[in-house]
Amino acid sequence: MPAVEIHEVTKTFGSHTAVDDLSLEVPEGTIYGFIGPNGSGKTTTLRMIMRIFHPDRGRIRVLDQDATDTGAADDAVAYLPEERGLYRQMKVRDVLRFYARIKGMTDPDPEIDRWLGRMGLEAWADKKVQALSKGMSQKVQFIATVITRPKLVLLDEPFSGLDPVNGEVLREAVLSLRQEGTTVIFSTHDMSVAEKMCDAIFMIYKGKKVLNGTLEQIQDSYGEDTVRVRLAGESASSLNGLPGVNRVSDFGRYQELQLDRGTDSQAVLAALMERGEVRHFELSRPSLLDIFVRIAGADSYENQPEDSHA
Amino acid sequence: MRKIWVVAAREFNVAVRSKAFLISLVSMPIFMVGSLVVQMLIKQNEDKSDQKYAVIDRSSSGAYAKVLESAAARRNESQLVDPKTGNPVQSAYRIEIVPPASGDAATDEQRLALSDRVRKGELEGFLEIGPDLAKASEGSLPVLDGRRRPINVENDRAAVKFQTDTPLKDEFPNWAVSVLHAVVMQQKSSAAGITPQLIEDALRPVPLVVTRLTKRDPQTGAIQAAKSENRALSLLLPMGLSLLMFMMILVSTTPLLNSVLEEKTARIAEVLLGSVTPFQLMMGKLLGMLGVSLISVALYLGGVYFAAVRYGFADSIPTSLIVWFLVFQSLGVLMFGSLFIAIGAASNDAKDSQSLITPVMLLATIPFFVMVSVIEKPNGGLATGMSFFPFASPSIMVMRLAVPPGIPTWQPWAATALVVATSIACVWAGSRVFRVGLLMQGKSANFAQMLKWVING
Repeated sequence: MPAVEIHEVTKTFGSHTAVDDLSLEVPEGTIYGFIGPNGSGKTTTLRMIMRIFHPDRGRIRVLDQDATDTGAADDAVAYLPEERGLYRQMKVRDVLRFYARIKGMTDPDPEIDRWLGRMGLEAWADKKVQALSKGMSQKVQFIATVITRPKLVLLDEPFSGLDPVNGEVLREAVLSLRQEGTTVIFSTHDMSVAEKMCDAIFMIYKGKKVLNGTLEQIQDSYGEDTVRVRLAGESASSLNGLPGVNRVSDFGRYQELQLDRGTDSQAVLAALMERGEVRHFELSRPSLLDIFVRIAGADSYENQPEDSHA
Repeated sequence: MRKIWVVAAREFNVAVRSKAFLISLVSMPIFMVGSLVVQMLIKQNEDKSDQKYAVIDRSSSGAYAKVLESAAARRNESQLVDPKTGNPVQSAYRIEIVPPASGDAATDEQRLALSDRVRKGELEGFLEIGPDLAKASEGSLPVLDGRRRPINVENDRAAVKFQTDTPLKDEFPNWAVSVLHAVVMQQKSSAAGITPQLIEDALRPVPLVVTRLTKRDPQTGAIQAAKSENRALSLLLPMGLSLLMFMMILVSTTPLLNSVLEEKTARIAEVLLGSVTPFQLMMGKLLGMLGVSLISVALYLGGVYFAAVRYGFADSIPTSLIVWFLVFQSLGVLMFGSLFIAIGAASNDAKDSQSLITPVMLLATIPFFVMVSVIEKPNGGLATGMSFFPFASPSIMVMRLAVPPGIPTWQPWAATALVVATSIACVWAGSRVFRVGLLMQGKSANFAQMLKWVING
């Protein structure tokens, strides 16, 4: 039984179609990554799974319950929105108690202490939220989301704005959720995080599903059309104008060439050898970032605007 | 239902523990009592230094000015200090008699000169006594219904004219006219061969005593003496109760608006809506705040009741009135609270919410515009009609219930039904605005948009 079943769902806001005829199944116990440029419908999809928005057409089932129409999400479903929200005037412990109780937990204190300890926040339990740093309040918000041991957790950009240490703490916490059998859906802009953590990846672009599957499945569908090269003492610009090369991406220590369909990689190697001393030549499948950029265009990834509507 | 209680409990705890709640709880009675005390202090400490007035007597004898001068002297001797405490209670009047100028031009010159002295602060004002004071005046004759005819006393030779920069300070002219009136009356009565004593007797008003109805004691069967009317209480009770209701609606709904705004701007709403429906969230908030307002009212009414028992006017406050007050106050909080919640959800920040609040605040203040006529005629057309206008109903019904002898029993029940229906409609409409508005960022809605949200959901 899938944790989430989305069946031919469409959601419009006025004249704007945020999600267009989307179907998706998220199996139980997986970590599912939602990627896509801003404004492509990620948050709208998450909010529909949370029953905050209701689809105009189509059906949604969450944890084997119909979640299409009015009503609040099941208590076993938890949500960490992209915009963090905590009552600033309340004490950390009181906020956590409130979020736990509203999800039906009767005695949240032992769990609160356990999680505060795990996140290194014991000393802040009786401080007001407004005294916390950004990273700390993000961790408190994460605790508020998972404190009731939900079966399904939706995290919208859980790692954005965190320093590496706190990011690692949260990453471990997310992985441990899966070990306990929790299904995790998270959206991210960080393709390397998605590559490393997700069992499956779903990409939405302009409201439509453009990628769905494991990283291997996605990469296989693109084939080995990418060459990583390093030339001695050469800069990326010297790679321009190679025959059969569609695009050159410079990663500093190496450059990535995307080959046109049908290009012979050995011919490219020969052309490279004419230009300089080849230190490294590797045929590979495209990275997730590469695929993302090919679908949505470089601008959509590099110039992420602040979140607009939905 | 459980989720509603969790939300309500948080709302209640946060509100009750907040400093703002304590401050408003304590400051309201302090403010009310304090303003009375301040007024008394101001009255006590107002300027009691001598006041100087010029008097021009145009009568042929010039005797009126002298009468005023001697009356002022008697007054200054006997009435300036409180005989018990010895504290000064009013200012002494110093009269300066100015001989009248002759001729119109000279008269105007004299008025200008005296006016300039008033401007310089040498005088408080000056009084001109008309030349024909003892003759019948052209105007100002009292007619039978107690009103005065519209008159033009500008050139009335029988009139007394007072010029001043401070026309609202009318103690002196009133005193002077009453002295002059007594003199004129004496003159006219002795001219007609009547003794002043007779006039005084004839003018003494017939005393009036107002009491409540005579009752039979249900236990002893004896007829009880009617209680004398406590006019101050009969006025204070309806005014105080409706003021208390207004304050309670205000005190409990403003935090609601702020907490919705906080949830919206701090993006808490999205977390909450992942756990509860908008209706549950809104009801929880309303019930939490209702609890806060009932706690405050219980404290205030408890205090009033304690005072009432202590000073022996407890039986002037019927229990049914208190029950009705609590019913209407609860409904009022729900009705206005849901409007405030909707506004909070529709606005983008506290500043934007202000312009949306104003019309709602006007609705809440309607009772004060009609308060006087409601208290005078609690069963009049205006009072009855307004008490069935749902947004004014809570205050006005309680006002009418508080004015003896009360109103037909069906009316508060009917009003309750109306207000309940309106509250449900407000909560319903509010929750629809709330649902759409809460996640809308960036711009505030206007009433037209809010209406669209209500209709479309």
